[in-house]
Amino acid sequence: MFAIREGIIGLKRNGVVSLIAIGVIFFSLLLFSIFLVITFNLFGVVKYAQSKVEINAFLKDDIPSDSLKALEEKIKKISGVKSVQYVSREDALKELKEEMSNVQELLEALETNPLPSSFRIKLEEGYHSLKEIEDIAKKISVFKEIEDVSYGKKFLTRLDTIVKILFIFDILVGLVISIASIFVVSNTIRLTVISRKDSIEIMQLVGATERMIKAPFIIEGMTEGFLGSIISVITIYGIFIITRRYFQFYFPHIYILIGIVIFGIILGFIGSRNAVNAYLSGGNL
Amino acid sequence: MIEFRNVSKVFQKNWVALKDINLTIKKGEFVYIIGPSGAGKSTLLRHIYFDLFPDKGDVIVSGFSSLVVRKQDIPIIRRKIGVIFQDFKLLKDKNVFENVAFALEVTGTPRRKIKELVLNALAEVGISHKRHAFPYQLSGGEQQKVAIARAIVREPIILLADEPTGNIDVEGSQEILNLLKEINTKGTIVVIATHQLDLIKKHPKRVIKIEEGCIVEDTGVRH
Repeated sequence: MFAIREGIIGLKRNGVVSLIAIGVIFFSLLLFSIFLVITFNLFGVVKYAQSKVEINAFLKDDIPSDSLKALEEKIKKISGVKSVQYVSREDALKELKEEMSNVQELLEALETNPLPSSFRIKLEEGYHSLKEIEDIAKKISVFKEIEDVSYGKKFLTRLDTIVKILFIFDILVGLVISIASIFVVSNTIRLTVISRKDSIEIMQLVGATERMIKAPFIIEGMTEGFLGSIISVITIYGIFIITRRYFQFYFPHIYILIGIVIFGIILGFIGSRNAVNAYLSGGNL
Repeated sequence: MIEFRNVSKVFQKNWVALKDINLTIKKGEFVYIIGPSGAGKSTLLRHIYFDLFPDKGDVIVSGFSSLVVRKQDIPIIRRKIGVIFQDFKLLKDKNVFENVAFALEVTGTPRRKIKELVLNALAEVGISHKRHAFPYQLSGGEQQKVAIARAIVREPIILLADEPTGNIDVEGSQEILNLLKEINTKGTIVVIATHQLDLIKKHPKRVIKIEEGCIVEDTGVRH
């Protein structure tokens, strides 16, 4: 009880220092949240691109319809395959004409249909990385009815590299922001601790236990962490509301926002604990 | 009650603060520790409340030895020892009542007991009428009375005073000294470090003189 009361009183008493600490946590977490939103959206784009990836398995000419049916079933059984759609030569030509309507005359001039029939294969979620697609494509290409398999290898390779770089960058930036936040919060709360050294000295003198001495500061730090993170979450939400008229972007789930608040409280906890420990182990009466 | 056995303390750069101190202070004693500035008076007091530990020898306070005392025992020992200083060490943002109550709050005394104990302590030092005042509204003598109230609120067995009248006028000093003597009559050991010899002449008690970290004179118990 004493610790909670003193912690809250401490916030008011050290108005400016507390505000700085809250501001620092707010700013760190705002950066972190913005970074998180950007990451989410980049991954969203990558994921969308990946979900569009399909394998086209071109068939040899003149395959009897029952062996076609059997082949379709075999492909469906390959793990990772979501759906298999048969595209006949006529359908393929029709699609091509629709896509290339500006050169309609040229296509009309064709006497025979040059396009092969094919299977259009969509993949399950979780089978969108380059290696998995390659594996599936290889499995399909061994069937004797298959002439050729295509899946946009160049595009996929590039996408795969982007995902890898993004992932490493993500971890690095996340780590740097976390460490920097803890460091800055710890130093800011050290100011609070130093500004209350008289009170710590008297507590030690009259026989307060170490836990009793630390508790108010840690509660104060956690409260600062809570306030800072709440403000940053509100701000990021505000930015989202304002900018969604201009950009269409994916906003993190509510659990992520709650996570940010919890992260802020943990920052406050670690920062204040470090600060008060450093002070108590370094300073004598 | 308080015992120093061959205690030596060396600070950095080979500065010997205490040199082979042997000293026994029994229950109910009233002791002055005198000597020039830097002689080691405060260092000696700090050993009693385990703020400093000897480099050689042993300090035994109320059954706790500095050789074996555990870190978590120190708060327990300090609750039996009241300490006052030349600069009072009151919290500026708390009033008189709150300053005394603070010592009880931080050691987990139940709230309903705090009020009674604090009012008693304030009455004992005669400052009850100023319990709502803040330290800056009080004279030096009054501030020291508040510090004494805080020191005795838990009825300690030892009261240590480091230059308690250093910042107080003559009249106020007399009052403080009378107060400390009164506390002593109830059985509390009182140890005063001072260099104000005129006070000692008016209130003769056991005097221990220290110079350069050594006891050079000990008058023994006087009543």
